Amino acid sequence: MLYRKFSPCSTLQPFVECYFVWQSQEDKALLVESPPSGYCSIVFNYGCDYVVKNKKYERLVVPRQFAAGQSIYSYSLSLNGPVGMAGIVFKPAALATLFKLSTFEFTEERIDLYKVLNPSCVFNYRQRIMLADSIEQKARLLEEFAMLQYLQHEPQPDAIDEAANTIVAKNGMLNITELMEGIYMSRRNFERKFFQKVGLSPKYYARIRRIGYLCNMIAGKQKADWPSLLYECEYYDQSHFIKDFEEFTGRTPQQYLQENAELARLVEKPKQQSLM
Amino acid sequence: MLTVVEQQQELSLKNACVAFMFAYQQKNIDKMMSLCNPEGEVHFTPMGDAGKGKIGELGKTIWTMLIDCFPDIDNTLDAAVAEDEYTVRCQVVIRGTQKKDFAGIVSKGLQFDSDHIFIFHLDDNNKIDSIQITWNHEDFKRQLGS
Repeated sequence: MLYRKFSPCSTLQPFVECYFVWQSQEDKALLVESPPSGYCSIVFNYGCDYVVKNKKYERLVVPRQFAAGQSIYSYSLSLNGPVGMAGIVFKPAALATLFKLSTFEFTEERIDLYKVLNPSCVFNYRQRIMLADSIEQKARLLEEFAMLQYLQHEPQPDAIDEAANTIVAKNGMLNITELMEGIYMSRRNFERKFFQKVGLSPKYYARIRRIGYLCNMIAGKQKADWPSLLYECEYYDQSHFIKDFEEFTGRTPQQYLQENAELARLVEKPKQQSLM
Repeated sequence: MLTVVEQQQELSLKNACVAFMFAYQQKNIDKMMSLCNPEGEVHFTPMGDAGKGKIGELGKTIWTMLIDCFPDIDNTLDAAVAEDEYTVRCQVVIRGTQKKDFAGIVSKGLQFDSDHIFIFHLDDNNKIDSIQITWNHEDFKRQLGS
């Protein structure tokens, strides 16, 4: 199984976190679980069909090409054959800034790209990504796809993009007053615009991001030093931590360690590579 | 299981619910009502049968009273999730300072900050035809000193 990540060019860095390509020729059943990450994505699937299970869907057949908004809760993917996926992981406000989409409509959803973007463009890139010879070539096509959107709209990151990216950078460990320093709009207006561009309120998004960060730290591990993690993630006390953890992952921290089947258990955590 | 087509129908649902919550934040009752079928049902669940009625009657009365009794009432919409092709679940934090007696709670000038769940049901024309609202009423009363 192969999972590789690539960095975007400098122009797209305010909008794109990374590109990924995930492939496997093995024809066997696979279950992959994930906590909410705090990112949005666009994914082209050229491998087997697969289904997602989350708090809302018991068994949703995922479109072959889709845009996904913020996940609030953990989800699992069930694959039953060769894996072939290439995707763009977007910064939290980028679906709105880059694609002019109302991101709140995508929260907890995977929406077919044919419904929301130019179908001929989507088809063109889907085919080219599927036929591309190398993983690097697939990643370059993802960048070309994102760059095409950038050139069409020439977006500039605004205060909401910057605030959301700050929450990501600080792994959700900041309060909203701190976040709003230097932002010249009322808190109410800020929260409303943030909701429209990210799909969640800033405070709620920060809680999700913090859990996502913590889950990433324990991914693939059997044991965890919980007191140190709580301290590092700036949880006020254990009960706040457990409440958040259970709300967003659906499991107790200990259950999560024992049962969760993250991708990190199947592949080595990839280092992000440059496309240059 | 939902199909992709059903997902698309859901997408436009959230607009009315989000607009409703934003109108509530602006204390704009007329705008709130314009998004609803006034004959639709509202249920303020913790109030039992007394909290059941028509959106255009009981709903309008309670929201008007809330705005009157808590003049700085405000809300933050944390998330809006489509539950099926006609239903949207909104997680909302509502806060305010009590200035007048409300629903048997004598005003002591205290503040509340309370998680609420709004379950909106919409008709084929994307009008809200049912709202179910849930919150921890004991905690709400405790915060207000009742």
